Amino acid sequence: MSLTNLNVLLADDDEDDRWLFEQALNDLKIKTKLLLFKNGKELMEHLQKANHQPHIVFLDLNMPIKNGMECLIEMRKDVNLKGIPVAIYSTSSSEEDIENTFVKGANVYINKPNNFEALKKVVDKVLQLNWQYHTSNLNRENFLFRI
Amino acid sequence: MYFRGIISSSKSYKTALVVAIALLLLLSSISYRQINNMRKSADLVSSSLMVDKEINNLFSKFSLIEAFGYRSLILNDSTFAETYQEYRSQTDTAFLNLSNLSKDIPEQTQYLDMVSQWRDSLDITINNLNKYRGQLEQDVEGKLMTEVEKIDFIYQKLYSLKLGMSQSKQALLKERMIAYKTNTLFTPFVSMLLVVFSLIVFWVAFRKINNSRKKLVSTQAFLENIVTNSNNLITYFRPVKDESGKIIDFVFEYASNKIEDISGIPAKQIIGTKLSESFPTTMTNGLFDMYVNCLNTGNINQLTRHYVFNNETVWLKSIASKLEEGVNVTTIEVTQEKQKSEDLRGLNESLFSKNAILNNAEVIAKIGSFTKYPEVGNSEMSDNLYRLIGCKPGEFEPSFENFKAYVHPNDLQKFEKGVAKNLESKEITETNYRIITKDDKLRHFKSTSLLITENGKQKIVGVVQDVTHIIKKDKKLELKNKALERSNAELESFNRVVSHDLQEPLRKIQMFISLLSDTERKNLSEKGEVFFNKIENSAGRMQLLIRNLLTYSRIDSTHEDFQEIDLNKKLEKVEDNLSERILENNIMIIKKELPIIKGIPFQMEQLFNNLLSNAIKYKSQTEAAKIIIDASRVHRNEIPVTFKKSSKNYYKIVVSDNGIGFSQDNATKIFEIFERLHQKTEYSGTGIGLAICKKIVDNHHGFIHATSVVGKGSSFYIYLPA
Repeated sequence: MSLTNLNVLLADDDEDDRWLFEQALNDLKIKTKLLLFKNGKELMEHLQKANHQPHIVFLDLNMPIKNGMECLIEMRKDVNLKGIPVAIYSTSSSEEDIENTFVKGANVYINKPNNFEALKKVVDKVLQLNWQYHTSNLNRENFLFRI
Repeated sequence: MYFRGIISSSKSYKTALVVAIALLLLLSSISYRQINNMRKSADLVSSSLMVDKEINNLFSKFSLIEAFGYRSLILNDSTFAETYQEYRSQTDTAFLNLSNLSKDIPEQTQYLDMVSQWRDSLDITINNLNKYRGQLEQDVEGKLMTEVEKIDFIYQKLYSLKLGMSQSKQALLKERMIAYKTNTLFTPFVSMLLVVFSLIVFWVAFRKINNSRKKLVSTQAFLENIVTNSNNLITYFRPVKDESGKIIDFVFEYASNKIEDISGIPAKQIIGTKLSESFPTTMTNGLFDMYVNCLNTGNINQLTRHYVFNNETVWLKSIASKLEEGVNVTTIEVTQEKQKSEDLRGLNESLFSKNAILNNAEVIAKIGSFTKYPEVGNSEMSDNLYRLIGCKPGEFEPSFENFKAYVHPNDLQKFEKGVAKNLESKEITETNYRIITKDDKLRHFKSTSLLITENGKQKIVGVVQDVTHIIKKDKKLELKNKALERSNAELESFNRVVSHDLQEPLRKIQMFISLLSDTERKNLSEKGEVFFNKIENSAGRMQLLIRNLLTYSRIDSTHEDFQEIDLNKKLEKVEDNLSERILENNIMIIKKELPIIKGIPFQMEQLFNNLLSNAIKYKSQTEAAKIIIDASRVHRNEIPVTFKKSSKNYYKIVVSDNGIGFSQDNATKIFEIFERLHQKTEYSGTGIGLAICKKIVDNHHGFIHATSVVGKGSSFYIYLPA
């Protein structure tokens, strides 16, 4: 894993959040290659034409043009994309959002932390997740990711 | 059937009796005559035989006379004359006998006359002979000879006469013998016939009588049976009259056993008694007068009156008819009929009053009712149905066509469709339509009707309700509902704003505070450091406030999808989440086995989270902190606090700590939103935590309350339906 860069995609309409996420990722030991998208539409367009599938997609829910939920539904319907791990990355802590994204097939739900250290910690943890193990044991209890 | 047989036979019996007697008399007379004839012929035969005997007797005398005559002639016996006289008298007797015997037979009489003549000649001759014999003269000889010749001649004549007589007698005898034989042959036969016929008559008569007797017996038994088993009391009275012939009383000649059922006195005791003695009331209650009237007029009378037997009122109806010299009375107990008619009258009254109530109810409830007979085509409409359409009751002929005139033109189709549907289905049909009343008011009506079959007749029964006020209310409610929906949607969007849009900038503030803190803190002045800390704290507080507020608003009662929750697992999860703080504060948690309840999982989690957080937050500063979680199942009667207990049993969960506690005065206040007992600076808190707990427990139809002693600790009691 350390040999190749981890392909990470983030779709978030907030510029600051994109910047903060990038900073956090840069501070991590793990080598990543990050691509940023301003909305869901951009992300989907990239995914449709990309040669290499990303290792993980971080999805903000509340986005203009195409929101995170729509992206998730599209990805899970697409044969090529349905295997990509999706981490929901949202400010919302509403039960409804958590429940819906879980049902639609997201792999992990992250509440956007309110300090930088926490952000680094959660992203690091998510990136180091054993996806196969996590997905097979995925349930409502461990879906919401806590640090 | 028996009666008719008996009555009709009495006439035929008389005829049969007369015929039988006539036949018997005829046969008897025939028999008598026959016997008489036989006797006569026997007499005749015997008389014939007697004649024979007498003839022989007579002629034997003649023979004797002849013999003696010859003897005397030869011997010249002079005694001959005397002997002759003797024989001569003997012949007289025989002659007399013979003439007596044969006086009916002319031939014999003729013969006898001739014999008599010849005897007289013989007399003369013998006299002459006797006269000559003494003379002894010559010519006497000749004379004697002449006389002897004469005698010979007479004898010859007599013998020939005897022969003739004998022959005649023989012929007669033969004839009589034949007649006698015939008679002897017929007489026993006729007698036999008489006997046989008598026997037949006797047998037939016996048979008839016996049959009649049998019939009579069975008829009597049948009648007896009727009388005994009849529910009617049958009595027969003989009138008692005074000297002037006026009826003063009646005597029971007969009473059927039923009288014991009615009066309690056995029939045997009653029969023979006087009416005035056994039932004195009858003398005044009209019964006696009725009997008298019945006897005097011969009319059939009836009377219904009551008696009291054994403290029970018994109604009796008596029908009296004259029978011979007495009164035959049939009495029927009509207590039940009387009772029934009383009941019926009562029922009618109550029905009437109920109808009145119903009519009033219709007015009050703005309801009308109708009945339609689709087969016959006519209808009935209740008074209030007329009123509902602004008419006077009975203002028009009750029919659907007439009622239809008041239906709103735009709803006519709907109305008719409803009527048609009613006829097809056997279910209750509801039709809503508008009515324009006679005074031009628009009303909303609802008809509920049903097709039923009663006694093979189809009829539609229905209720018409003026639902104008309901429709108006519905419309108001609809508007309110829409407003509520709008406000709900607004609240929802507000939630969204708070949860996302408000948190978003705050989070970013905190994020940059943290970045600033990490990188630039060391460059701040002492004052700047203080300011920076205040910013950091305020941001943190704001975030907490927003989060709690969100949680509070999210706990709404609309959640009804209760699931089974193992509270032990929930508690473990909460402990896990709070593990850092628990370790940090060195809290000891003692817990009992918790129940499995029905509820909303995240709310239960929130509940435990808030309670444990509080216990940690307000832990004792002096003692080792301890949290005890206890659970038990209690009956609702064992719960000392009052709240609406919908369930029979409750789970009692107690979370107690040995923390700083609070004044018991504030025990209810703490569950109110934004209520804080402590200064902001002392303890961080928003004043929402326990309010959330209360809301959660309320949502689960339970109850939460707290007891506390300052400095000793607090206990939170939660009751959840078991």
